[in-house]
Amino acid sequence: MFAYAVRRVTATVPVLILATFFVYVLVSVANDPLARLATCTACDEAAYERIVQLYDLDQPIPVRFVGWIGDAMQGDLGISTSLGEREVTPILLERAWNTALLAVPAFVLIAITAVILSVFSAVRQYTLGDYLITGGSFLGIAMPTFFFGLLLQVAFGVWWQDWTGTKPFYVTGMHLESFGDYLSSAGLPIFTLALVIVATESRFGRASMLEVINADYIRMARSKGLSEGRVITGHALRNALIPIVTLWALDFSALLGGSVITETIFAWPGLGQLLLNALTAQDLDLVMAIVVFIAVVTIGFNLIADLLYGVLDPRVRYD
Amino acid sequence: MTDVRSDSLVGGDGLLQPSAVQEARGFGRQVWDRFVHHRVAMAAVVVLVLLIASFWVAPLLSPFEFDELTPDLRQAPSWAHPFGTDEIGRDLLVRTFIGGGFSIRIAVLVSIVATLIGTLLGALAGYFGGWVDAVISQVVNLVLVIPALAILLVLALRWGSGPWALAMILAALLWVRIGRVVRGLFISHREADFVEAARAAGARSSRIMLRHILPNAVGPIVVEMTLLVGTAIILESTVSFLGLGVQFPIPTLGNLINEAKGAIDTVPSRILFPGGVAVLITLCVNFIGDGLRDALDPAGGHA
Amino acid sequence: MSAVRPELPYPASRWDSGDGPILQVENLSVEFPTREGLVHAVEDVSFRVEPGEVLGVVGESGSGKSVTALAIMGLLPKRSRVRGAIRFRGRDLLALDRTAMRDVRGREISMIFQDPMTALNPVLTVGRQLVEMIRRHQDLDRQEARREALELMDLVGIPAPQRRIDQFPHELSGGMCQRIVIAIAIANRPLLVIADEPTTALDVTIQAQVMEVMTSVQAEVGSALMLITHDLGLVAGTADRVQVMYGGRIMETAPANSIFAEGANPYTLGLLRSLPRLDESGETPLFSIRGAPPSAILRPEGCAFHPRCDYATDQCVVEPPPMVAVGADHLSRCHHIDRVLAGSAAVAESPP
Repeated sequence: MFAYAVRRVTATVPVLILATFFVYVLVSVANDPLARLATCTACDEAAYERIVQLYDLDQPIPVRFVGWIGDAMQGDLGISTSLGEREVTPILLERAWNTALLAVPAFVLIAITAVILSVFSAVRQYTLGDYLITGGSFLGIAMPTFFFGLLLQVAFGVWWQDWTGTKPFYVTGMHLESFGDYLSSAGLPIFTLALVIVATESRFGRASMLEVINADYIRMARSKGLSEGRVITGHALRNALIPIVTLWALDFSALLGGSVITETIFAWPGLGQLLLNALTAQDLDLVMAIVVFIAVVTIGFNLIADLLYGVLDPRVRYD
Repeated sequence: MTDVRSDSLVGGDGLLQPSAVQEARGFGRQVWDRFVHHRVAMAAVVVLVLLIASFWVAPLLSPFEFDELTPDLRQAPSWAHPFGTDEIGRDLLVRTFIGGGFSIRIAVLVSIVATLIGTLLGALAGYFGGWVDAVISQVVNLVLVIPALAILLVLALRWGSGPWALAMILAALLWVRIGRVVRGLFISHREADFVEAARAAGARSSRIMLRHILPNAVGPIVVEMTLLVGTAIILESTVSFLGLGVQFPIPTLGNLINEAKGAIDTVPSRILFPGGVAVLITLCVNFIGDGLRDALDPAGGHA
Repeated sequence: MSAVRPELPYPASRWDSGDGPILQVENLSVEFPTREGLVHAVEDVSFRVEPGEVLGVVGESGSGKSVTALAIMGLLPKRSRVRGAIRFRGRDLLALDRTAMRDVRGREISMIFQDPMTALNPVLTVGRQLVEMIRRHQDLDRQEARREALELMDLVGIPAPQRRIDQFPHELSGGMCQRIVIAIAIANRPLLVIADEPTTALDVTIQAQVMEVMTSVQAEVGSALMLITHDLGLVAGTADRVQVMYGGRIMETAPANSIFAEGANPYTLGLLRSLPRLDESGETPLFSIRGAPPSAILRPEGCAFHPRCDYATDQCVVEPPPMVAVGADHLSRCHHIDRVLAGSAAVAESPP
C-alpha cells in the first residue's frame, strides 16, 4: 500500500507542474491587461510601462511562469488591480474560506444522500421509490445549476413569502451573525450546489450497486446464511462504494467550480464570485491565483481519490 | 414414421425454415428494434423533434420579430404574448424560440466537432499505443484535471462572444470524454481475431481502423454524441448566463435567462420559459442517449 | 480438530431424524416471469438424497439443474414462483420463514458455486470470508475461528495456510480459490453440500485435483453431496446415484453403475455416446445429439426430448411420458424403454 501511495504521489507531481503551466499559459494569453489600455483615453506611456512592469509582459511566458511560481511559493500571488491594489494572497484565503463554508457542508450532504439513494434505489429496484429517484435524478442532471439556483431564489424569495408570510432563507448574501443566520443564508446555495451532483452520483451509485448485487459473491454470501443487512453492508457496499468514493473526490473539485454560479446568484462572497468579477475587470493576478488554486485543489483531490481507491480495492495496488 | 423434428431449423426439403432466417437478422436491425420499443426514448424523440421544429416554425408564424419593440412593456403572459414581453416591449415567445434555435445549433455543432476530434485522437491513441498514446493521454489528463468551468470562463471572455467561437471552445474542452471512450474501444479491439486476420492479409493500418474497428465503435460513439448535446446546452447556457458567452443581439437560452434575472422582482416567472426549454431539451436528449445505450447493450445495464 | 465442533451424526432432537433420505424433493416446479414470457425452469421434479451419498445431477444448460439447487437453498430471485415441497429432515424448506431458512443455509445445507474467482468477494481476504462462515453458525471468538479456518484450509490441501489466510482472492489461483470455497462450504459440517458445476471454470488439469479434494472432504465430514454438472464423465467414479435432467424434468435416475451399463433413456444414451472415448480411433467423428435444447418458455407438449430423439413416435409428441421403473431404484421417463434398452445393448461397455 505504501509503495502504491508513493507511486501515485510521484506521478502527480509532473501533472501538477504541467497543469499549472498549462493554466498559466491559457490565462495569460486570454487575459491581456494591455487590451484595456487600447480603450483608455486618459492613459499615457507611463501607464503602459507600469502595466508591463507589473506583469513582466516584456518577458516570454515560460520565464514569467517561473517567476510567478517562485513568488507563489513564498506566498506572494501578486496585486489585485481591481480591488484597490491589495495583495492577492489574503483576499484569496479569505474568499476561499467563505467558499468552504458552502462547499464542505454541501459535500457532506451530497455524500450521505447519494449513498442512501443509491442503495435504496438498487435494493428496491423497479418499485415506485426506485422510479421516483431515477426520474428525479434524470431531472437533476438535465437542470443547469444556475437555473435551479434561480428557481430556489424565486421560490423562497417571492412565492414562499407570499404563501406563508415567513422567510426561512435569505436569498442573497452571506450572513454569519449567528449559526442560525449562517444556516439561513447558506441553505439555498448549498442545496443548489448539491442537487446536480447528487443526481449524477445516485445514478452512478445505483448502477454500481446493481452490478454488485447481482454478482456471484453476493449469492455466495447469502448462501452462508448471513442476514440481508449484513450481505448489503458487509459485502455489497464494500464493493459498490469503491467507484463512488473516488467520484466523491472528483466531485468535490466540481463543487469549487460550481461555486462560481451559485455564489453569483446568491451574492455569496466566495472564490467563485471573486473569479467572475476579476475576469470582467481583467485583473490578471487575481484571476491567475484563483484558477491555479482551483486547479491545484482539483489535482490534490484526484490524488486523494487514487489513494482511496488503493485503500479500498486491493486489486489495484499491484500495478 | 412421421417427421417429428418440428422445431429444427431445417425443413423437410433441406432449406432453412423461415424462423432460422429471422434469427440471422443483422445486429443493426436488432438495435433499431430495441430502441423503437423503448417507450421513454421514443417519447423523448417526439418531444424533441416537435420542440426543435417549433424553434423554426414559431418565429415564422408569430406576428412579431425578435427585436421588435411593441408598446406593451413588461407584460405577463397573455393571449397576444404567450410568454409575455420584456422591459422594452419585445415579445418573449419569439425571443425564446429563436434563442432555443441558436442554443441547439451551438450544442449540435459542439457535439459534432467534439466527436470528430475525440474519435480521431482516441482511435490513434488506442490503436497505435506507444508514444502516440502517451502524448494524447497526457493531454487528455491535463484537460480533465484543469477546472473546466473556470477555464471555460477565462477563454470565453476573450474569444467566446460569438456563438460559433464559443462552440469551438466548448468542443475543445468536451472532446476528452469521447476520446477516452474511443481509445478504450480501440485498445480492446486491436487484438481481436478479425483484426489479426486483416493484418495478416496485409491491410494498412488506416484501413483496419476505419473499416474494421470503427464500425464496432459506432454505437457507443453515437450514445456519447447524443449526451454531449445535453452537456453543451447546459454549459453554453451557464456561460452565457454569466455574461461571458454569446452576447446580444444574438439570443440564446442562456443570455435570455440572464435578461430575465433582471426582472426577477417584477415578473419572476420569466425565467421559467427559456430555462424550461433548456431543461426540456436536455432531458429529452438524455433519455434518448440512455435509450440508445440500452438498445445497444440490453444485458449490460438495468433500466 | 477442536472440541467445539458439532458432532456427527446430528442429535435426533434437531428436526425429524431417523433413517431415510435427508432431502426429499416432491413435485418441485419453478417458473419466472420474464419479458418474453413465463420461463418454466423446473417442471414437476421429485427426487431424494440419502445421508452421506453422492448424487450426480447431470444435464445441459437450461435443464433446470441449477435452478433446482437454488430452490433448495432458497436463493431464487424474488420474482420466482415455486410450487411443491422440499423436505429436509422432514421439514418443508419452502414453508420456512426467512430467518429460519437463513439458519439452515450454511449450517445444514451449503453450496459450492461454479466460478471461484467470482464467488469470493474480491475486496476481503479469504480468511475473513472463511471466518465469517464459521462465526455465523458457531459460537467462537475471532481467534478460535481463525484457528478453525487454518485447520480447514489444511484439510482442503492448501499449502502454507498461515500465509494464504490473509491474502486476497486475486492472489490465489483458480484451483486454490475453489479449495477455499470448499472449505467454506464444509466449515460447519453441513448435512448436504450442493456443488453447482464446481470444476467447469477451472483448467482441466486442476479439475481432477479439486474433485479429489471435494470427494475426500465430503467423505470425511460425512455430508451428502449433490454434484451438479453437464459432464457425465465427471460423475463416473464419484457418484453413488445419478439423475439426468432435461428441459426442466428428470429423464432418468439410477445407481451410477446402472446408468453407465444400462442407460434406459434416449437422452442418457445420447450423453453417453457424446463422451469421447480413449479407445476410439482418431478418425471417428465426435458424436453430438442433433438439434438444440428446447426454449424454456415454450416447452414441448409431450416429451421434452422428442424433437431430438431417434426413438420418438407420434405418441411422444403429444403425451408426456411417465416415470417407469426399469430396475432396482432405476427409473426412466420414456414411452419406449424396451426399444431403448434393446438399442443400448450396443453402447453398454465399462464406464469411461
